[in-house]
Amino acid sequence: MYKIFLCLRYLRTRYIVLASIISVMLGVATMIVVNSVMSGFANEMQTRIHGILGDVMVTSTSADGFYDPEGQMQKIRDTLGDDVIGMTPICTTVGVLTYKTRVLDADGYEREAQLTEQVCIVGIDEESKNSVGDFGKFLQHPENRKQLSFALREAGYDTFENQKMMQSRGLLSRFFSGGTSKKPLHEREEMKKAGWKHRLEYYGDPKDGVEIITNQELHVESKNAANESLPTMKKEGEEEEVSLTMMDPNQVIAPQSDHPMDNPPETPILHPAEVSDNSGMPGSDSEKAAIDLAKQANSGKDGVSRNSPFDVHPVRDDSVAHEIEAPVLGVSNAESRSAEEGQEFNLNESLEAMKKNFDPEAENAEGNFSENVSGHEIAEGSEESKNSIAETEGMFSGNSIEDPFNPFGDPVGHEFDPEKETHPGIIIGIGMAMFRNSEGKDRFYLLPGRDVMLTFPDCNIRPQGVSGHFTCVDLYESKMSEYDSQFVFVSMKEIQKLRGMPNKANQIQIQLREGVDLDAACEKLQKVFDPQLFICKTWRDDKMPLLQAVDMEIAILNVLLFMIIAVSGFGILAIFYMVVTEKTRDIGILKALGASSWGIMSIFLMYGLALGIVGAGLGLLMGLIFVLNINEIADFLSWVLGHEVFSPDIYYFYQIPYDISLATVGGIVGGALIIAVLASVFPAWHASRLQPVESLRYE
Amino acid sequence: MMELMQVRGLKKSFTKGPHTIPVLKGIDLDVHEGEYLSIIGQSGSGKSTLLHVMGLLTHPNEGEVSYRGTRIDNSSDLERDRLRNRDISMIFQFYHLLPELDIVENVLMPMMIAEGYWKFKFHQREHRERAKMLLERVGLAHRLKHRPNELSGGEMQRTAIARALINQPKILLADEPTGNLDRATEAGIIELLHGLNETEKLTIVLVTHNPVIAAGADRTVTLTDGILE
Repeated sequence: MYKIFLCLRYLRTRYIVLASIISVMLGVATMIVVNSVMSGFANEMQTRIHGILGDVMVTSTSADGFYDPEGQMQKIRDTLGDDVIGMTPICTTVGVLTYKTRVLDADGYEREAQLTEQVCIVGIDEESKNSVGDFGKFLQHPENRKQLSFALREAGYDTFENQKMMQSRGLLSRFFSGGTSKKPLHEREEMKKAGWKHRLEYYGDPKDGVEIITNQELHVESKNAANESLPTMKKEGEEEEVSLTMMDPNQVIAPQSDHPMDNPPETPILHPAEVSDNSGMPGSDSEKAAIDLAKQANSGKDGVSRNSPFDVHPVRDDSVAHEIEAPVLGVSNAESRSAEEGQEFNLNESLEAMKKNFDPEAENAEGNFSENVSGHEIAEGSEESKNSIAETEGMFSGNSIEDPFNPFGDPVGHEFDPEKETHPGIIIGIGMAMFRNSEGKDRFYLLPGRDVMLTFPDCNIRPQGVSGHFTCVDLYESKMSEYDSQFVFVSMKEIQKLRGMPNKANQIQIQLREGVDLDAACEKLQKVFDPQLFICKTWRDDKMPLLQAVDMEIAILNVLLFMIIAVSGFGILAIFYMVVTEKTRDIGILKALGASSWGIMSIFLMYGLALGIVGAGLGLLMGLIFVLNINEIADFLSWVLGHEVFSPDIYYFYQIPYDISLATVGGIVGGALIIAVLASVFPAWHASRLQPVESLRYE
Repeated sequence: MMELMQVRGLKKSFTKGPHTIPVLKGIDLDVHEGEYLSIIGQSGSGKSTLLHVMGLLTHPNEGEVSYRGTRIDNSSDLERDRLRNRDISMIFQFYHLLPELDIVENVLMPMMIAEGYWKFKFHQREHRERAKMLLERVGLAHRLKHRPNELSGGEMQRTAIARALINQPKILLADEPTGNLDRATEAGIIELLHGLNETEKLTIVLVTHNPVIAAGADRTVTLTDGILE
């Protein structure tokens, strides 16, 4: 009895132990805050990685993919049985995205500039993609989130970031924060008119289908546009400057250069049929070479596209540097230079026949397909590449019937009317389409409704650049800047056609039933799929280095922070030793009254525990309050310091994510308690060894 | 009359560096049940040490101490703790109260040590009643809520006596209980001890250097240079 009684009494009367309590409290609070925020970040990241990948992927070792994705999917279904709840084939390649946008120059005039981005092109199957991962969740149109479609929507795109739903998954957040977003989000005003409206506005006032929008028109229209939709631009000169300084003024090419005379013929007229022609040849030599090349191309994804025939500028940071080239947009399929002469190639020929017939050297088709998209010096290269594609009339028309959306399928001479039709749809990572200005408002280079051009290598023995026009139908915003600034999504069929790889895919993404052991499923699959041709991976394997790096970071931080608590443990030790010295006489008295050594020891052990409980409890409370209000605190700090503490420009989050896990918090509090008790062991033991007489003898 | 406590051939020395200083040089002493014994001796004669050995606060170098016929100087710590708590109480020249507790809590402390948490909680009210009764008995009924540092020396010693009595010990060892008190207060304490011996048949061993105080005892022994005369 006396142990508890005395330990509580000492806790109440010794103010010096407050120091220990505070040090424990601070340590615990810091650890909780840092852990919660770090795991919040990690979680957000994992959700996104997982979202884009699905649970398990079966990937072709060759960038040119494998045949018959349907058949492979059946094989997977046979292997894994009921565990599979969704599957989708994916067709990826690297490429270059070019599009035009209007920028304001220093004088306040809008000019059209061409932007080029290196992209990672993902061909997805629009029916099945949403059954795997949560790709759809990151799109901007509510309908597309339900069922993905590559058709341009009339309007109704989100004007606010929809990442709110990704947040506040912390256990306690429901009780404390109520899930409300505290920071007023800036509305994306430009997104209001995204869709057909924007398309009509942008490509409006056509002259009988003449593609090129003249400078004057452009100018007038842009002024209107500026008045209507960008009221802030006029008022706030500073902001304009911001948007401008991002572009190297030297590189802004005056709209005059738009004139066809100034540029090499910039028609990317590329009939998909042309490409698909030489695609289906599984010729051993050619395919191998293509595989090699494609592999390299694949590896080039990481930033440098080594073997792209284009001089690709690895423009990563979308908001800073943009290559502004001679514009091409709007002249989509003005002239089809792809000559109709050339060797006739029957589409219906069997693959075997193709194998036999195909000989790149012998073929002298005049097809001009991989035209220079951006007015680069690649014109020369096209000479060389002519021989690789042949086309047939029959195929040409046949294709256009199959795909009503394909503008290239139109008869030659048809002029594309951007006000009535669209190109095949493309979903563009939002990082390429916008930037966030210093006020935290989002400004868009590109909105759903606009046309862009994609250029990427085909599947030939010597990969040639092929290009296609696409219409942006949605923006992908996963908040993972690596994805948002790199990925574009198009229909897999388009990619297959353009690359010349019909019925081929690179990857099958599989969504498994909840609770299925992914690694085991992966192993099972690898047994069925030849490891020389297929790699089976879980989503974690795929991003192992990144996830491991994050885990490592968290682990190191934890070790460092735990040392803080350990330091406070030594503080407890020192203070306790002092208390024991101070209480020597009391200890003697207690012993004289019959208290045992163990009893004396347990007074101080309990003292340490009580101190740990109070300190850790307060720390827990403080840490939780801090975490749950971390965004308010960040705002407050920003206000005090006068600059953004948590800049959305860097992290792409409006809010600091956090994830409070019971296990982590429990571990931290438990650790603090153990340290507090351990730190009191030595002083307590020392106290118990005191001889009563020695402590009582002298006053 | 039965011997409550027996001391035989007790020797005790202290080591200070290379020197060994003998304090008790072979002491034989019988304490009878219900007796009021006083040990008188000069300062440094070893009388406090004798009392500490008898009170199980320290071990002798040689000789034995028996309590009710059982040798206790070499018994286990647990047993010695129990004896100190229940049977052999001590009061000191410097009172030795716990400064953070009020006097009722101080008086209750041996009882808290004796009983577990729940048992004590369960009987807390009776225990407090008993503590108050004892404080009344020693004349401190009006001071229950005070802390030791708010009391006079005499009041502190009365509190210490009440504390010593709470577990109904058989023997009370008093180590110069009036050494720090003025004459009037001293007389009050001695009278209190005398009364306890008379009415409650409490065995008291009182150590003092003051012959006047010693004179009130049933029996007086003198300790000179570590040897009883």
